[in-house]
Order: sequence, then C-alpha cells, then structure tokens
Amino acid sequence: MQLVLESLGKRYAGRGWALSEFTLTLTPGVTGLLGPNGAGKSTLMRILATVASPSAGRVLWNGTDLARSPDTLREVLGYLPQDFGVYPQLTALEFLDYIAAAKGLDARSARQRIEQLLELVNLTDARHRSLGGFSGGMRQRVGIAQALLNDPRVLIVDEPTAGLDPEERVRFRNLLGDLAGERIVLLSTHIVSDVEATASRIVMMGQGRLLADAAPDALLESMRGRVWECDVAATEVEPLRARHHVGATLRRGDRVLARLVSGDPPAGARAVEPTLEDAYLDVQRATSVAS
Amino acid sequence: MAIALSTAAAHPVRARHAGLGMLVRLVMADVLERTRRPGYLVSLLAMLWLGQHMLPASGAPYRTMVLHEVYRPIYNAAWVGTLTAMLTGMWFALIGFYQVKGSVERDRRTGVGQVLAASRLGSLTYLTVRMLGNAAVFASQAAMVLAAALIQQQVLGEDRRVDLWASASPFVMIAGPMALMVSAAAVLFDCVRPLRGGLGNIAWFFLFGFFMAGTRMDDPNAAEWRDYSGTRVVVNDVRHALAQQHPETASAPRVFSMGVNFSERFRNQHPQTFEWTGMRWTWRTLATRLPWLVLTGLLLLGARTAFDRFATAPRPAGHAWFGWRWPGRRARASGTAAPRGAHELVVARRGFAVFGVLRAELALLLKGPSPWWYVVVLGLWIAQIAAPLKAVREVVLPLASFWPALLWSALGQRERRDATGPVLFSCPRPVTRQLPAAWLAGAIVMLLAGAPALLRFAGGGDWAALAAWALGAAFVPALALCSGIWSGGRTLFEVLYLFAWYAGPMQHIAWLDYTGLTSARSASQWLFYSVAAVGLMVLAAVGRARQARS
Repeated sequence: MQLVLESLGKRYAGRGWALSEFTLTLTPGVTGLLGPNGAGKSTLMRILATVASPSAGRVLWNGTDLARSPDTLREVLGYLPQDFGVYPQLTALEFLDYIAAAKGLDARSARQRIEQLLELVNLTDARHRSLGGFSGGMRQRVGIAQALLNDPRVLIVDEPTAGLDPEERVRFRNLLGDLAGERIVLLSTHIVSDVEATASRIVMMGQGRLLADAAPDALLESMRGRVWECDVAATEVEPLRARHHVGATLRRGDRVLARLVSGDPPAGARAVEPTLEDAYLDVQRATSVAS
Repeated sequence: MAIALSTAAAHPVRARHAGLGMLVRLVMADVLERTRRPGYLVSLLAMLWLGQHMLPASGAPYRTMVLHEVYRPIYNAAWVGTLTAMLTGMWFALIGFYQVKGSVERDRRTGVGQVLAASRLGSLTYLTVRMLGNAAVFASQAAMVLAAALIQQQVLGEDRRVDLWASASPFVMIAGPMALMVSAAAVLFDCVRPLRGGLGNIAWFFLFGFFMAGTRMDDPNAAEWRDYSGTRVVVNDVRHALAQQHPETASAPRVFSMGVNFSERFRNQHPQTFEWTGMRWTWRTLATRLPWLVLTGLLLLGARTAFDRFATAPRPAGHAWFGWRWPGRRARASGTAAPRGAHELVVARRGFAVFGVLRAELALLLKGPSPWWYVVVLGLWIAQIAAPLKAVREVVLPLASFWPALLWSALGQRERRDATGPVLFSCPRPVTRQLPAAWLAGAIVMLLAGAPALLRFAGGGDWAALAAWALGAAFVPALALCSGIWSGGRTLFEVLYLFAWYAGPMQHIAWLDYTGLTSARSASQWLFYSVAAVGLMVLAAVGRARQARS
C-alpha cells in the first residue's frame, strides 16, 4: 500500500507555482507535514484528496494514476480539509449520515459507525443539535468524524487541531496514534507539537518544495550539539539575533532566556536537548537564506 | 485617545480632509475589489454588446423604443446618447440591482464587517461607501454602453457628427439619478434582514413593476415627478420636435413602447427619420430628476436605520427553523457499544446508497423554510383541491410552481456556500451519485407542490397536463443546478426563474411557460423543454466535474 507523488507541481493562474517538483512516497504510518503559511501544504493535500488536479507530475495509488481513476483512492480515502464546512440546518447525526451516503456506505452499518464516531469525538450529547449552533471546535470534531466514516486506508487531515481546546487536542492525538498502523495518515499542520506526538516520519516543505524528509529521531540527531540557551540582558537580544538564529525567547524580569541554533555559540551559552521545533526553524531559515 | 482628540480639535480642517480622503480610499478599495472579480470583465463586455444592440438598424426584427408608427429620430449624437442612456437606466433598475446587491452582506459573511465596525468608520459613511461602490460599477457599465453607442452611430452612418456632450450628458442626467437610487436601494436591501436573500430579489422585481406602472407614460397629464426613469421629459421633447417638422403627426394617437419588442413586421418597416438635436436641460427639466436624488438620500437613511453595524452574526444560510429530524434518528442505535479507541470501531459496509443521498438532498431542501412556508403550501394544496380546474391551471399551479423558487436556488451552489465541496468531491463518484440525487430532490419538490392537482388531472384522464407538469419538474431543478454550479451563487437562477415565471405561466407566453399548463404546448415546445432539461443537466455535470477537480 503506497501513495507515490512523482514530480508534482501545481500552478495557479496569476500566482505562479504553489507546488513544484514534489516527489515523495507515502507508506503506512503517520507522516507529519510541516511548513509555514503559504508553503503549499494545503495545495498538496487537495491534490492527494483528488479535489485538485496537478499541473505537472502525477500521483499513483498502488500503481494507479489518480488523474485517470480518482475513485480508486476515493473509495478508501478520509479527508478533512482546512476550511471544513457543514450544512448548518442539519444535525451532526444527519450530516454524518449524508456524508456516509455520499461515500456509498450501507445505511444500517453506517449508522452504527456514526454513533461510535460521535462517541469517540465526544459529541454524543450534541448529535441532535443543528450544526449551525456548533462552535468551531465542535464542527472540527464533526469533520474528524466524517473523515473516519469509511474506515479509510488513507487519511488526509489538514490542520485538524485548529480550534480544538487542549483536552480535545490530546484526544485527537491519541485517536491519530490509534489509527496508525495499516493506514497511510498524512497530517498537515504548523503546530510542531502535534507532529512530535504522533508522527513516525516528518516532511518539511517551504515555497512549494520538499525541504526535508526524515524520521523525528534523525532530525533531532542532526541538531544535536547545535542548540543552545543563553541568559542575556533584554537589551542584548537584538544584537544576539543579528549574529545567531534565535528561536524562542523567555522573558524573566530584565533578563531574557534565549534559545538559539548555532555552530559557534556565544560565550556563556549552554548546550540543550534539541526539539523538532529547533529542527523545523533551522530548515526554514536555511531555505530562506539560500533563496 | 486624548492625543487623537486634541489633534482633531487643533487641526479641524486637516481632520475634515482626512475624513474625505478616507472616504475616497474606502470607495477606491471597494471599486478595486469589485473590478477584480472574474465576472466583472465579462459584464463590461456584455454591456458593450448590449449598447450596440440598443440601437437597431432599419429592418432589424426588433425595436427598443417606439414613439410613432412611421417616424423615429435620426441616429445622431444626441439620440444615440439619449436612447442608450434611458435604456441603461432601465437596465440598472431591472438587472443591475441584482449585480450590485450583496456588498454589505459580503462584508458580514467574510468578517471584514466586524473589523470595520470596530473602527472609527461611521455607519452612514460606511453605507455611503458601499452605495458609491455600487454606483461606480454602474458608471463603468454606462461608459461601456456610451462607447458602444458612439461606435454604432458611426456604423449606422445616419449622422456621423460627433458631439460628446450631446451623447454623454443624458447618462449623467437620466441614467445617473437612476444608478444612485438603485445603488442606495441595494444597500438598503442588504441592511434589512428579510430582504438580504432571495426574498429581497423577488421583492425588488415586484417593486420595480410597481414603479413602472406608477410612471404612467401613457397619461400625458401625469405629474412629472412620477417620471423616475427620466423618460417623459425626453419623450415630450422628441414629440415636440416631430410635430414641428411633421405637423400632420400632432393629431396622431400617441404610441409609446420602451424595451425590446420583437416582431417580424419590423423587418419590412423602414421608419422615416427626423432630426432631434437633444435635450436642452433647463432648471425645470433638471428638477424632474430631483425627487430621485431625494429618494436616494432617504433610502440611504433607511439603510442607516436598519443597519446593525454587524452586531448580529450571519444566520447560517438555510438555517433550520424547526427541528424535525430524519426518521429513525431519535434513538441511539441499539446494540452499539461505545468504543474505547479507533480500533474498536465497527466497519461500515459499502452498499446501495442512492436513497440515502436522495433522502439527504430532500432534507437539505425541506429543512430550511419557516413553518409559514409550509402553511402557504397547505393553502395552495387546498386551492388545488377546491378550485375549478381552469383556475387551478391558470392561477394556483403557476403560484405553486413559484413558491419553492428559493429552495431550488440553493441547488448547485450550496457546496460552495457552505464549503462542503472539498469533502463531497473527495467521495467516490461525486458527479454521478450526488448530482442526480439533488436534481431528483428538486423535481420531487415541484411534483409535491402540485400533487393534489396532479391527482385531479390523473382522475380526469388529463395525461397531457400531468406530463407537462412532470416535464416542468425535470426542467426547473436542472436550470437551478446548472445556474448554481456555473454562477456559484443563487441570484442567477432567482432572476432567470422570476422572469420566466412572470412571462410564462403568468403572462401566458407559451415558449416560457415551463409548466405547460397555461397555453397549448406545441410539439416543438415539448421537444424544447425535454432537450433543455437534458442539456442543462449535462452542462451541470460538466460544471460539477470541473469543480471537483479544480
């Protein structure tokens, strides 16, 4: 079971290439897709979800070209788009029933699964309420439920935790971990901690291109010995930024604890354990410097 | 805040200029936003085409204004400008309103309104900006019509002398006040909650008809203020010129028609021309334009009164008014254990889902309207049972065919409106599964709307009437789907349907009577509606396939 992306490109009229020469092979497991706003993540997700056609290259699902036969993937696809919409006049139960019918699922067995999914996303008590009255987080949970209706082999979720409160975010991460295994899960986000908690593979992109593709451990290893923390006066932060790549800063009175990535640390800096956020910021910075 | 206040007080002139500058910048931003929409260029090209066709050559099968059976003004600079300006004014009122309506509602939907409401921008200033934005769209359309008219003047060659003032001034004097009034009315409709959507579109159509009747162009003694389209002063002046040049026409019966009038007899009639040098605008004739400027101001003030400054969230389109549910959904499915994780979920089998999609499409159509909508349906059903069959065919069924118009107008565009497209289009067979179900749901609604009458037709063996209504039921949702998918909104269908309904079932123009009940339907009309229904569905399918892989 694999989803192969071959030299994928997408060009929008008047906006140039949103995606360019993107080659990747997705296999079972959770792949985290990281990138800043405008990196082309959603464009890539839309192409993989068969709702957009690539301008160049092709996508192969188990050897079948999706341009010729998109339904082969749609039969086993679960997709949560970034701007997930609902029909406000329907209840959560009715909406999920509608999507189940659109996916071609048998009404009786779909009903059982819908009830279970509502339980799983903690919406059982709200299942008879009109979606028009749902909060953003509740709608997002309906979106997660609809993506899982057909027991998808390929699950594509674009910014799934947007609008979720911390408790629901943890619940979703656990659910995603539970789903991994025999499924291809592609999780797009710019929240590094979401990926850190669930992904067995991390793909980073920027300006429509693939920047990095590695296991989290490999990424962390590549950063070892290059991440530092130093305690400086507030007035010294800007000069520090000028010389080093400063990431997170934490203000303590008139002092600032700065985290930086550097091969040549300032005096007094101490080495710390790298995180995926360090790796992400380093890759993005290296790309922007190169371009 | 204190600094801002003291600055304003110390430099009142600068503050006032800053306000004017802000107004200009806001209008400019509004104009830029509108002119960069994909449909804008198309609308300008359409105006160029329209402008050219507003001036039919001798022997053309149609006329746009008839003032005398034999004579018409020569196509000189004054007449091409004046005639196109009058017709453009009518266009603004009839069609332009629908083009510009929705600017305030768009701010509400996109959330931009919340940002503006939190700024120092006054409500009246904001509404004026939106009104001027509407007027700017009209101005650009008028400019295209004027350009087309000047070209057509040269093409027709009856009098090629160019006089820009004579051609352009009628646009300012005649079409201008109309454009402002319609612009303000569109803003008012955006601010009054019940008039924001399809109900407003229908209300404007009837309001426009009411106004047209109020001008009383056939009454020479009617008050001049009634002449809101600016036509009467021109027509009187043209008639005066005709009487002077051809005195025998002074006693002839008055003839007046404005708009597109098709007749084969026009092909053989070559009207004689006379010279009309244009309006001499006096204070008196200019004063006839004043009431409409005053009305513009009143409409704007009305909008200001109704405007909630985006305090209320937009009611979700198609919001359920009352909470009936799909059958069999109240109780939790028995025997379904609560899962502890994704691994414990039951797997839903693939199956025959056609009825599921159809049921859902029907629910989407029928869960939106208020209880009052159903009360009217009930009234129409009772009338279909109780009224004589002739009245049922000519009055009740046309009304029943119109009543669900706002339900049908959601077809084809709600996937975009509610942003459900990406999910639905990533499902298997998005065109062949969901689209026919949506069409069938629309057809069922029309069949239900006329159900008692259909039973009476069946009882009386009137199979032709039954078939005609059924063909209408196939045609109308196909038109709605096609319009919704290709336009991305509901207005196109609402306007098309309104005109078709008014001209067809109500005015008995057989070719536009999609119900086929108010006049005898010829074989070619049967064929036309059958082919149109299929053709529209094919077009809808092509559009949907394009959307699904955009």
